[in-house]
Amino acid sequence: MGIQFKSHLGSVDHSLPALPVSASGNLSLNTPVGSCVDHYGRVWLADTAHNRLLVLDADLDTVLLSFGTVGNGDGQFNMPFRLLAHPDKQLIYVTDIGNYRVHILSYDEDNISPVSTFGDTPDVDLKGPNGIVYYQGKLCVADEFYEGPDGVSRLVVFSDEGDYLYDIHQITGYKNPVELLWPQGLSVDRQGRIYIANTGFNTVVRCDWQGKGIPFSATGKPYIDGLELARDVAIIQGKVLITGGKANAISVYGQNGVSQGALAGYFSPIQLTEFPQENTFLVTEPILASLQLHKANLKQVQRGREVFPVVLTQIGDERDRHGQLHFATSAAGDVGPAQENLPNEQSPTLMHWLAQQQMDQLEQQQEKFLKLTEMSGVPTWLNMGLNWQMEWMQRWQRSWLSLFIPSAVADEDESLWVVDAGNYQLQSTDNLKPNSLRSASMPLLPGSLGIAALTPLNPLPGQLAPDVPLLVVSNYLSGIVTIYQYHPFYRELIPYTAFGAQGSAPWQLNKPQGLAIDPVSRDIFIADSGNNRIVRWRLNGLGIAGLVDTFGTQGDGDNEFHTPSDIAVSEDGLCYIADQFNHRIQITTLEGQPVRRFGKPGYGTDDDHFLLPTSVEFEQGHLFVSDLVNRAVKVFDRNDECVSSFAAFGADSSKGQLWMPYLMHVRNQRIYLPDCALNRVNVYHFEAGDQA
Amino acid sequence: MSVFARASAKRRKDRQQIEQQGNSMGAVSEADSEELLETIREVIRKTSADPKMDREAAVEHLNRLQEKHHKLLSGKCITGP
Repeated sequence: MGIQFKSHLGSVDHSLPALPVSASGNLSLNTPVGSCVDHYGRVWLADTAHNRLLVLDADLDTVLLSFGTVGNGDGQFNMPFRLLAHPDKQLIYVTDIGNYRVHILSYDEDNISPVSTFGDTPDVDLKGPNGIVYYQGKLCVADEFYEGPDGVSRLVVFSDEGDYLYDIHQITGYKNPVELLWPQGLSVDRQGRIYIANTGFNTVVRCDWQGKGIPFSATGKPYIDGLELARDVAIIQGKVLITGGKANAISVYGQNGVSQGALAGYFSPIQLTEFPQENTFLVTEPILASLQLHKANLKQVQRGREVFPVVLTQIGDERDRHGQLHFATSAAGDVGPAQENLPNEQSPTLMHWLAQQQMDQLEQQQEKFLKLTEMSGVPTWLNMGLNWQMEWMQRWQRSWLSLFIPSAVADEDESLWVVDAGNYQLQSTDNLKPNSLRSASMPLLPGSLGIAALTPLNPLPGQLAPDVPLLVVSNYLSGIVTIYQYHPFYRELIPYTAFGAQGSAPWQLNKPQGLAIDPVSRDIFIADSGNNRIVRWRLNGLGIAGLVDTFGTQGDGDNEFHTPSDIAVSEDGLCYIADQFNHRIQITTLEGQPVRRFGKPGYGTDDDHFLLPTSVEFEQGHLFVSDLVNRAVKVFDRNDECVSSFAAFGADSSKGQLWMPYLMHVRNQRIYLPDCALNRVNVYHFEAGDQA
Repeated sequence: MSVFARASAKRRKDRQQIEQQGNSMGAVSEADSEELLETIREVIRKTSADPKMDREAAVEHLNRLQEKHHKLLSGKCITGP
């Protein structure tokens, strides 16, 4: 009995031509996080999910050096995260978060050499080295996942050679000690004061090197509050810049703690690094797979004003190469025809006829394109376009063919659909190989997030291919749920019906995430995360969507939720809800009556301790929970006992490791877990054993 | 009570404050969202009213739908999980 990692979907493309090479068109990044500028004015970038460092020229035109591979040896990384250039020596510090250590690298114009690593010895035992700063011969490292008394995190202070000096467990000197939870980015100002992005509490805390809080004069508190999130902090042009402080913006504060306004036009930035040119700074946008150089005079950010910086340059190609994923959020299987409905070989049906028509048409189209590409005098750009068109057509039609006649092209059991949110598309596969994903739809609407396959109990009016399940897709940004059907004549997904829309009224949705289909009634259950509730919709016999019920309000009691992110429904009529920010699983009836709940907040990879459980699925008497901060998939029996688990933090694609797992799908004991930061879908197998 | 519970309580309080300020809703306004919903329904009406509509015309409808969403949501981000 247990969970075994089998494979992953989503191709890994970190190849580079011989260096130096232009950064344009040659550089595919995978969730880059850290950056710094070295003594030569060159830019270093942590290409985190690719487990390497890149060095670029000061203009970000050319990739000069690439350093590192995945692993835990010298010069190897598992998620190189933040970078720091020593101000005096030719040294770069790299927090290697998945290996729980910090690297010291030396460099000259042509080479990078490992010097040493520190922090992974038993006496220090870093649990999640993230942000790092330097001041007067000392380093301070944010140990994000350290578990101190009551679960608090810590800062760890080292000499600049990596010798351990002491810990800081809480920030003192204020009315009550200020606790740290999941500290990420750090920064120092010219006076050496440390600023901490204290992510767990949505604050930025300021202290000295002994951990004594330094109040902001405007509030008298040693922290900035009222932030939507605090992912990172940087002191730039004398201002306090907080990424995540406001959605799609960088919050700007004075050093007195007063909000000045914001820099606008961002996506989801993390690290900011001051750049040598006037009013310029580097921004990493991990989700966009991009490093950008921006220019803005922060003096203009005042009185709540929003300023749009000038984007001087950016690097990182689109993540749309074959088989690549870009912010994969969810997966669905079970989209092939139900076994009992499969057409009989001896009695051809409309579906077989359609399939044959498609195959014939595909062959004809291929012939046409081949003739065109073989013609002499066809310009190169046209030839390339035609080849691309043909290839796209092949993979697209192959995907649809697998729906109709799975046995002809694949094992139906292995078909899977993935919401590739960053590329606005569905991708599909029928063989679970890393590079097997193929575009399989017209562009999805931006913001598409969750997906579920819905086979109505009876064919619905206007359902053009009843053998092909409908696909229900939630949209996080617009609050709309769209139900798509396959149109056999257009050979395309088209909307069948849609409902929801942004708001808090019963029929509206706010940041809907995971979906579940009741296997008995086929009702649609939605985790309406922004409204802290579950909503239940139904397609009636006429195909009209109607609201059945909503249940839950914000809170931490029975039938109260704090950002429910996913839901599963069992055949015996129970709802299993990932009550994400309450760190627990709630179980209710289909009508929302509380049945029980379980889970305690805390670290743990093989028990009922949860930290932001994000996704749930129920299959064959087992509840599967994806536990985000613990980077674990846990399986529970009907007594809420954890019977199996798989946990691994990191970016090693060969080991099923996880960084930001999102909405899971389980089918026939296979666990499909999209990781939106690693840009892949991990596939695991669960063997129930005697306890099934 | 663990630090996790205290942090959860603070986040809930923060969120209530943000809701009181009227800033809790998602990336688009209610009106914009309603408009997007209506554009989806319009495509459904068109494609269902004429199931034999030329494929190119149908695809054009779908493209326009996507473009409209993209324009309205440009620069917005999925911040979960």
